[in-house]
Amino acid sequence: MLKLISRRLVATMVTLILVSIVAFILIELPPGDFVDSYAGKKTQGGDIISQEELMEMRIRLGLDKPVYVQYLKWIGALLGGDMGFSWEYRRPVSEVLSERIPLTLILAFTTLFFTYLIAVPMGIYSAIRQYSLGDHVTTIIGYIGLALPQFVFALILMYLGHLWFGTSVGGLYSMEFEEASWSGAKFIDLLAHIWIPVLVLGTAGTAFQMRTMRAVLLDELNKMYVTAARASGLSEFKLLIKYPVRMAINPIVSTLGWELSNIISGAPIVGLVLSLPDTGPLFINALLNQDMYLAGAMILFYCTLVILGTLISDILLMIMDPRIRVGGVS
Amino acid sequence: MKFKTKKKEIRRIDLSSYWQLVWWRFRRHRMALIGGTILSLFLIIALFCETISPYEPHARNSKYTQGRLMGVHLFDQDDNFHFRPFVYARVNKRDPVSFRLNALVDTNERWPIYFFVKGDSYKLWGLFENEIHLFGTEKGFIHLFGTDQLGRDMFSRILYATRTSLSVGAIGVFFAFVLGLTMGGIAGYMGGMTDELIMRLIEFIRSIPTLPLWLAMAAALPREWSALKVYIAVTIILACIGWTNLARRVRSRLLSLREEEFILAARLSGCSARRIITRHMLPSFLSYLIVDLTISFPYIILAETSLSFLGLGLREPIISWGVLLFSAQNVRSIVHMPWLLLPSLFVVVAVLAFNFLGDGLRDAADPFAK
Amino acid sequence: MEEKLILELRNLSISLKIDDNYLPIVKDVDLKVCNGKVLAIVGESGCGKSVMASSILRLLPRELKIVQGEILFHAQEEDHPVDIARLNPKGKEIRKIRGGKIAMIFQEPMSSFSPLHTIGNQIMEVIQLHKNESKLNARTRTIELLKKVGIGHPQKAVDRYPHTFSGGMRQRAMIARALSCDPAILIADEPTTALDVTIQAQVLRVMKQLQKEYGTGIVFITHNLGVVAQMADEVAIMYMGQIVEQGTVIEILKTPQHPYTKNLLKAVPQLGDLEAQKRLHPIKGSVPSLFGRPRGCAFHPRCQEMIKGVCDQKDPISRKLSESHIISCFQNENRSFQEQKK
Repeated sequence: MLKLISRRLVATMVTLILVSIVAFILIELPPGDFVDSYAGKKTQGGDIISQEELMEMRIRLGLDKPVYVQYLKWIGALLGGDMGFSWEYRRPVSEVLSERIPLTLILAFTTLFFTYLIAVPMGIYSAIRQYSLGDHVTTIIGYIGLALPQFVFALILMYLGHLWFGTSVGGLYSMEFEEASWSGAKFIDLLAHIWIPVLVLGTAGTAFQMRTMRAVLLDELNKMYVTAARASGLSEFKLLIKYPVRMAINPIVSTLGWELSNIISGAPIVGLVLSLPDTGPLFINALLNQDMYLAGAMILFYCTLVILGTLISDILLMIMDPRIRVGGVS
Repeated sequence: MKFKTKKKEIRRIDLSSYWQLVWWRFRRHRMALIGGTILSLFLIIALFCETISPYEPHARNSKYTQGRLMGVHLFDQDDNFHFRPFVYARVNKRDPVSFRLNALVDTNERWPIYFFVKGDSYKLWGLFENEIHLFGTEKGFIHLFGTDQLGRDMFSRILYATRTSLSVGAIGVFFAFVLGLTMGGIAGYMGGMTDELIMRLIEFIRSIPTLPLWLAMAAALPREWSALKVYIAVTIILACIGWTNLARRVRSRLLSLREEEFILAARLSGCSARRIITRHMLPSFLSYLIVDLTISFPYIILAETSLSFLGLGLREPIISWGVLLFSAQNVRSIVHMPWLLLPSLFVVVAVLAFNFLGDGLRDAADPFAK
Repeated sequence: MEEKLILELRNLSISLKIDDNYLPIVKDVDLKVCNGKVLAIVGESGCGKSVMASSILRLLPRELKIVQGEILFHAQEEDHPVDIARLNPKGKEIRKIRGGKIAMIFQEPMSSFSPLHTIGNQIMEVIQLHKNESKLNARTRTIELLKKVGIGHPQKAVDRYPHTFSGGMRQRAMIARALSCDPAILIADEPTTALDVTIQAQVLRVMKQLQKEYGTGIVFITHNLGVVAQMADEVAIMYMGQIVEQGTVIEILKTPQHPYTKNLLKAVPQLGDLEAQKRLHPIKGSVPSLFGRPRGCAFHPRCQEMIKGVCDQKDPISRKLSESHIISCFQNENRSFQEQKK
């Protein structure tokens, strides 16, 4: 198994390198660079900037060098811990990010946690009580989660929040706690607010995992080893959990990485709509302003998170499935 | 000669019984039928949006901005029945406190609704000049879904947006389909090194979270591009990321088919590679392809909607459901004009309809399943 | 070992419930199983033998209902038999019986074990469930059992996963699991059908050996007459859910009386047939679908000795030809006993 894991790690490293190249290419795609959009804004504002000044800016920011040199410089710096400088915010990228990343991580993992917490039991329930009320509810939630765009869901929830509670429910902290340092009370306040983003981000994933669980379990329930276990005298509940559910968990685990990817995908838009102080709005603005280092670092961050998630789910699957782990027939 | 026609006849009978089986199973799937009906409705709307909508999507009604939905009545306030449905007149009165112009319902005056009425002229599909609209009023106005800040009729705008959203979906799916089919086909048929390479590529694309990718690609489009260019570019971007699923399906199907005996038989009888692929392999998983197509549609539509909502996808004057939702970006607008969210209802219904249809097709296409 | 009746099926009928209609799958079955003896149930695919076997442990899905009859299990400790047909299929009593007093092995050894748990784990759980043993004792017993069924290196095999075992080994492990708690009866539903002939022989040998050692009564479902000849003490022939003939293995194989049985035996090709250029004798016609059950005797459309006006009108009643030989046919009423002996 160690061999398998080490192979997987190598593949992950290669992927990360490729992703960084892609990230860099994407940042460079928009014609013009930061200096151009800076100049554009200045002229719109009525200022005049001469070509020499622009050229000077370019040299200063290293934008006059060929592309691959810029890339190598960037990667070199990154590995050394320096993520570059955000021109928009006039601060090092690492500073800007460190303010917001913890929240993104909390949001992502909380959503992941609740997704599985709800999806697994409900999926099991709707498989063993097919066509019951619970099963139909699960199916309906499934379809809604599938079809409703996340940002629409967020907007509707905010509208309802406004209708029912009067105040604006955007953001992640009530006013008092916004600038306060961390404490137990702040944490509870966070929990009270975080359920909307978690709900919005998690519904689609929960729906999908529920349906997967239900489908896989239905398949497994008809298999011979379940009947054989029943014929040995095991109680229904025990044999349900020990055998088919355990079997059905495998495909669920294997999609952990993909699920994380979806949550990360949805986070920027939801963050924008709900005015969350996380990395989402940061990212979108960085793209719009061509703040290269910031945008590049963020793409790299998102992709790394997802790739790590996939790696973990692959390793988990290897651990959990002896057929992959041990392999072969003697 | 006689021998040839006989073979053709027999084949047709065989074919018809397979398709008859398929149709019969499909009919039993109620949800799929509902999905199909809804999509046909959408298709009609998309094709004839100019005629069905009472107004031009960019026409502004200065007398009724930020207007609420106007209800259609058959009974007036005295409980009299009128054969012709009508809306109540709206009169603008200045609010004494805020000095804002409010449109109030005037129950004393009725604006009857006529069908096939003459309205603003338009060009159907850009070609045929016409003036007939499905419905409208002679005096006054009718805004079934309200109006936005500029007084534009939401109903008409949503109908026109249907055309755009569906066409973006169709073109995106088409490109993704072609790309996926080609890549998957090559990978599946050639096997070996080519297959490995393509699979690595697919895995790589799948390992990247899609939204940041789209956003980045969409942000790369120059601001100066015309709305039409943006339209095409956006569909291509969506297709470029969506082809991977289809390619994987095609490839795995081809790989398993390669080992099937009837392919071996075809090879032994001297068929060329192209003939093998098109006449022997393709028909057997045509059904899966159709299902995949139907299922890919909603993803592309959702993706375009999300992009345009952020302002990174399509832009005015081209309107899609996403572009319409762009005006709903902040909560304040929604609080005042919740009907701006109506396009999302259409999105949800379209996505559900495609999914139901796809489910039904998938069940039907496998007539040998239990 | 004295012969004792341990399981008795009386008048057992099982039907498939479709909306409000009941479609008979098993009709009026009477069978007896004694300890130390092998009862073979023979029939073509779809004749209902598996349904009948599964009903003994109440393993049938909801749509298959026992509409009539009794499944009497004579447990060793009690004086009066338990009617399994009346037990709650999800209750405690049936669970005590399953695996503990009556065990079952199935046709597909490939899929009868969970791939995610070791063989040892899946056998030990049965022992711990019924015998309340400690884990260590259960493990020792498991290793013993694996050795008995002929699996090499049992100490290592205990911790291996099913996918590392071959089909024959898996089937033997299944036998080990089934016999782990000394059940009074083993129900074997076509255990060797999915195996190679050579492996088949090994598995059958193991079963016979264990039966001699433990005195288990075996109900052996098969459609292979060769296996019947090898294993069975008693045979019951089943057609469309009914037992058409039953008796000792000698009686059935040497002096079959029912036309269906006779045809079955004739259809088996013999060694030397090829050289003698003999043709195969399949039974004419095919088994009717369950929805088109023929009136009267279910076999009459395919029977050469059919009596018109009788076999296609009335249901045949079982009659005893000897103490053990029972038949369900109108034919023999007309012939003398001497003639039948030929």
